[in-house]
Amino acid sequence: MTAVTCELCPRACVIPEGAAGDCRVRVNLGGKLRATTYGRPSAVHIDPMEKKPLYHFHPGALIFSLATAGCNLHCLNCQNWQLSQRGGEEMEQIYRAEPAEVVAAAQAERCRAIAYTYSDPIVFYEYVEDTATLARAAGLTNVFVTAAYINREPLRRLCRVLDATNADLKAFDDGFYRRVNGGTLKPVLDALVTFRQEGVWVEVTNLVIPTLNDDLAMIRRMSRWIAAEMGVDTPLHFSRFTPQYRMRNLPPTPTQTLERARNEARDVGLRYVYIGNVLGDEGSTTRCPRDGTLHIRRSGFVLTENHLTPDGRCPTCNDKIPGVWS
Amino acid sequence: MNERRNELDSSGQHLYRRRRFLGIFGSLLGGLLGGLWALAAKADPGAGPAAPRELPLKEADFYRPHDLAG
Amino acid sequence: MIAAARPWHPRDTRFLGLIALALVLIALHLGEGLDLAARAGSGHRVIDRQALERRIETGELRDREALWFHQARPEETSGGGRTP
Repeated sequence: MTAVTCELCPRACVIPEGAAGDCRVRVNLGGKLRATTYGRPSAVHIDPMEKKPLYHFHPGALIFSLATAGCNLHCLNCQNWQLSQRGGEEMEQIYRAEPAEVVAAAQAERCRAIAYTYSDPIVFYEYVEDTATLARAAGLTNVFVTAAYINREPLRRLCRVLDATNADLKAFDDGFYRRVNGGTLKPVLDALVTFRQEGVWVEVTNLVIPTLNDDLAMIRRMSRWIAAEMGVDTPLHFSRFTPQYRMRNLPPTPTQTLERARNEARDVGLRYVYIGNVLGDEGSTTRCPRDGTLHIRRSGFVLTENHLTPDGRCPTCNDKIPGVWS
Repeated sequence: MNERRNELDSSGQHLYRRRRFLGIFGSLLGGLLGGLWALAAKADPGAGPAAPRELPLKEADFYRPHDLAG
Repeated sequence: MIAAARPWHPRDTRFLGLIALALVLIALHLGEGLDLAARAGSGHRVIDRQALERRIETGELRDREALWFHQARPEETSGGGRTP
């Protein structure tokens, strides 16, 4: 039987008959590559939109979130490792959820959108594309929460049915990507640019890990790149690390480090820089970049105040605030 | 009986002690291997009719608390 | 125990040699597995194919044809060593 070469992500796995790609869920059976978790998610939940995190995309809405097993990265600090670092045949729980059923369930629960998330939706690409196509036809929006380690052509095609993404930019350092995540940096940067070019709303998350990627000079370079290539209106979320999986030897990120990171990013011109995973922090509040008017206050994932006009303008200076508000 | 205990092999070693040692060691080893085999058999029942573990989507509790990120 | 200790015998050397040989064989076997795992290889993973096919038969998993692949070219299958 012939081996196949997967073209979905930069790994370009050459997969012999009966074996899986590095992601564990794309398997060569009978000389053809099979998406073994199509329609078979192992995690299905309804979350607030802010949890993705998306702060400038339908704030306060409920989002129907799902994931299958598998992932094409192997981050030492993966919080979702029990889902992402397994193949479908290893999961204890699998739902039968064909694309039409997913859309129907999301509508029945009055969700505004569907999120393909938790593990990495790149590895269940076909399921995402088919579900998102039906969702769009039904008036729902589609959110892709990803580490963005995907080739340009598959991403371009998928962007046709995506409305928003939260994409990880784990560090502005290729060595970090190789050592900590099992990937490389450049394809991720290319993917972020592709999202922007294809008109998908982008918010970027950077998980700050003490001693590994908390160098302020690197954070400054990363922020400059985002400002130049993605635009100063691209929301950037600095997220707090907590010990996980195979990275339990490091302490949680000090709040001070997150605040410094935020200051660096704002210094180079990024207008919407947030601190996540830290309850009660001013860092999760949206303010007008011109006059500081409070727009949206959040407590954890809960919206507590929203003063934006229905078309997303500042109530004081009438500036249009970038995002998708209705 | 005493004669058997004092019986020597061709190189002058006590046969009885050697047999006792081999007997005890063999029992321990056999017990260990047998126990491991039993555990392995229990843990991995092997191919056979699969117990279905799939769930219809409509039976999912979408609002149950979870700690998945993203 | 000390009273039971006895002079070293040539037979003991053979016995220890047998144990050492067994340990070396075990180490070689394990090392081969580690080497396979550590190789920056073709990127594929060996899976429990039986378990997978069983689950496909029952419908828990699928064998739906994926997008974005091609039949591996000869130059792709010869030699290992592809880092991401």
